[in-house]
Formats: sequence, C-alpha cells, structure tokens
Amino acid sequence: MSQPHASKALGRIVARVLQTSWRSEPEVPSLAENELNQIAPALLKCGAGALAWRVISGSALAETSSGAKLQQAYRVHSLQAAMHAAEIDYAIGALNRAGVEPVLVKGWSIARLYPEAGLRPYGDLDLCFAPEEYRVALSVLSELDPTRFVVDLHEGFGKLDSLPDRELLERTERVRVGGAVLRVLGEEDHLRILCTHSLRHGLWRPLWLSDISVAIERRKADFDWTRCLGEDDRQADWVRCAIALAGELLGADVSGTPASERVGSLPAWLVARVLKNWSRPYPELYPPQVYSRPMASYISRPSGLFQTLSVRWTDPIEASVRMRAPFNWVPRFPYQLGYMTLRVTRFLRR
Amino acid sequence: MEKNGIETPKARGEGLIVQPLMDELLVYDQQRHQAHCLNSTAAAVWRLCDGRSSIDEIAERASSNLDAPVDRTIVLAALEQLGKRRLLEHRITLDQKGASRREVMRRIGLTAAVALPLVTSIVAPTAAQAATCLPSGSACSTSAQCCSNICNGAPSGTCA
Repeated sequence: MSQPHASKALGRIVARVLQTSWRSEPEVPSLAENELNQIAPALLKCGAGALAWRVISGSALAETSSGAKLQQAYRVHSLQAAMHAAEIDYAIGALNRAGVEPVLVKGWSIARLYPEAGLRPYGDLDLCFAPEEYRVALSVLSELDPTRFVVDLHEGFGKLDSLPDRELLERTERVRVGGAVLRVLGEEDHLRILCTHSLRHGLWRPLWLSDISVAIERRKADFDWTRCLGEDDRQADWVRCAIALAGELLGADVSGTPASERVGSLPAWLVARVLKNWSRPYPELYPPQVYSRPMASYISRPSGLFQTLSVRWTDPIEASVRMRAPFNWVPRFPYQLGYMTLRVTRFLRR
Repeated sequence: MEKNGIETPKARGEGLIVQPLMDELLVYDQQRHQAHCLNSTAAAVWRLCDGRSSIDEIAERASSNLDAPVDRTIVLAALEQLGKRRLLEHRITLDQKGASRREVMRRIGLTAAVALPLVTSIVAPTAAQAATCLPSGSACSTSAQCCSNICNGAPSGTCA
C-alpha cells in the first residue's frame, strides 16, 4: 500500500473506533487486534485513549496490551478530571466570593458535555474575564495557594472568535459546579468556535471532531442556527463542513442541522486530509522528529533551509481557513502556497 | 495487625482526591503526587476503615458490600497494601508468621471468592499530559512537547 493510502487507512480505523464514542451507549466497532495496535499510539498521544477504551472495554480487545494502555489513559484522565473539579471549587470559589464569575472556555466547557468528565482530557483551566473584572481576578488568584490550581487567565476572549468580546460575554450562560458559579459561552457561539478552531489547526486531533459531535447531539431544542453560523457566509460554510465531517466520519447525528446537505458532498481533499492527519499523533505542521533547528538560525546558517521549508509545508485545511478560501473542489495548492508566502513574509518582518 | 497495636484501621482523609471509576477507586495523593488504583476488594476495605471498626467487622461488612465472602486474611492483605501506599493513617504490616507475602497471597487466592485485593500505582496525571502542547518558555525534555516543537537545551530545556 502506498504511503498516502496507508495513512488514510489508519485514519479510517481511528474514525471507526471513535464512531459514536461520546454517546452513553457507543457502538462497538468490529476491529482486529492488529488494527488496534496500529492506532493505539496515535489515540493515546492525541488524548482519545479514554474514549477508545470506553468503546472497546466490553470486547475481547480490552484484554490486549493496547487495551491495557487505553484503560490506563482512561484512569489517568478520570483522575485528572477529579483534580480539575477540585481546582474549580478552590479557585473559582474564591473568585465568586470576590463577586467575579469567570467564563470557562475550551477544555472544561466541552468535557462537561461528555457522559463522563474523564473521557475528554484537557490541560489547564482557561478563564476569560470582562476587562473590568480581569484585574480583580488577578489579584484574588495571586493570594491563593498556587499549588492547588493551574489556570490560564485571559482578558476578553483573545482570538477565539471574530465576534466582539462584549457580544460573546452577553450571550454566556451561568453554570453551577459544586459550590462554584461560572459562565460558559452560549451554545451557538461555542459550537461555532469549536468548528473554526479545529479547522484552523487542520483538524489533526480526532477529539475535536468528537467535541463537535457531542455539542451537536446535546444542543438545546431552541438552538439558534442563525446565531451559530453568523453573518460571514464563508465562515458559516466552514462550520457546516466541520459538522458534516462529524456526521460523515464519526457518525454524529447531524439531521436537522444546516450541515445535513453537506454530508456526502464534502470535497474529497478535505475528508482525505483529515484521515491522513488522524493517522499521526502530531499535526502536520509540527512534526517534532524533523524540526532540528529554529527558523531564525537559518538566517546565519542557511544550509538545509529548503529542506526545512518543505517539511513546514502548510496543511491544506489550515491554509484554506487562514486564506479565507471556500471549501470546494478547487485544488488547495494555491492556498497552501499563499499561506506559506504569508508565513515567510511575517517571519522575515520579525 | 496486633503487632502494630492498631486494631481499628483508619483511612487517610486529608490531601487525597478520590474518584470512583466503574468498580475501581482512583486515589491521588496530593502530598506525595502519587496516584493509585484500588480494585473493588481493596476499595471496599479502604472505605470501611473508619477508625472504629475492627478487622473482623470490616471483613463482615466487605462481604456484604461485595456480595461474596471476605475473610480476615483478605482484609489484612488489603490493609498491608493500602498502608504501604500511605493510604491509611498508620502503616500496617501483615503478620505472616514466617510465611512469605507471596505465599499468603497464593493461599488466599486458592480459596477467595472475591478478587484479591490489589492496589497499583498509576502515572500521576499532569496538566501537560492533556494539553495540546507546551507554550513558549515551558520546561521540556523533548521537542515533541512544545507547541513550537523546539525544545532549546533538551533534555532539560525550555520551549522556544
């Protein structure tokens, strides 16, 4: 089997294992032990080990050595979720007492939608604040025991979304977690951000598509698609495509969504690229094995520059989003070239 | 047990994060930064160590909770492992009367209707383990850990 076909085949196995894995009762895939052995390292590295364990735990694969590794990931992530819960109670409880309700974004806010918190691992807690609350939060948290929590503080939402911070803040929803009260993004904003963020990073983590799947399937009855898709037609189509990918590759139920018409009509390059990306534990842009030197060092010592540029060639999904290109059947090379040129120009300007 | 003068073992309560998972119990020791996985038998015994119940009472209640006979020897074997991992207020050493621990466990195993008590250590979770990658300035040992994929000065370097 040729290299691209082999990696696509591996990506297909990853997709098969993770199909409906976020549901209370996931479908058990038919999978051979050698297939599991092939994809287990990628699943573990990209944080999908616990989800995969949940799917295979009732089958004979649970007794294999790869199964044992996935189970260990499940244990570790579950314990990690319990530790995060303690962090939330401690740090956010203190913020609440100072009259501040942070907005939790990314990891925790999506992990809470899974049937078990440990199924969706994440690193630290990302807390966003309205500008007037940011200083207060900083001062409150600096008084606490730093060994009891790890948080990332953000004034506003940074580059999470194209909408103004004020608008995102206004649409946030209150959530009670244990004794703490916090806010999460409005469901519509959250789904849009999940889609655009994952595409912006080439959708290399299968977990991101499962995040989209769980957000879709657990959406409220009066979910506002107009608000979710927004006014930017190009971005709206990216969101539709990401949702359609969740339907096509992971079996998410996208019926009744604006993406349903996109299922089955996604550009072949997009599906192929996602599957290729899933066959590796690292994103295409960051192959750790081959980045031998920082780019800046090539200015004084240019030997090997072309080789390193070829390694850093851009992911077609990421390039399309960064260049604001439509997801259609047009080959991606012009956008990849354009994005590469943009990156080189930015680098030279530094 | 009597050797240590502790007839009513007590589970440690301070500085632990406890997470039930299926029929197991995961325990993270915040003081020692160690994580442990207790199987159903060890978990049942540990939960019953309230500092008031005797070994025989623990055995009786564990039998009822696990719906299978749990004798004193099994409780003692569990307590020894729990103590070794600092999950009890006082460490307990199994009085084996000259027999090796392995021998005792083998003997229990031949007759036990429940799973042998087992406490295993697991890799303690860290924030970095679940993060996509480490940001610039973070300590790293390999380039793979960094968002930039450049670890200056690996194996004890910082992410570029």
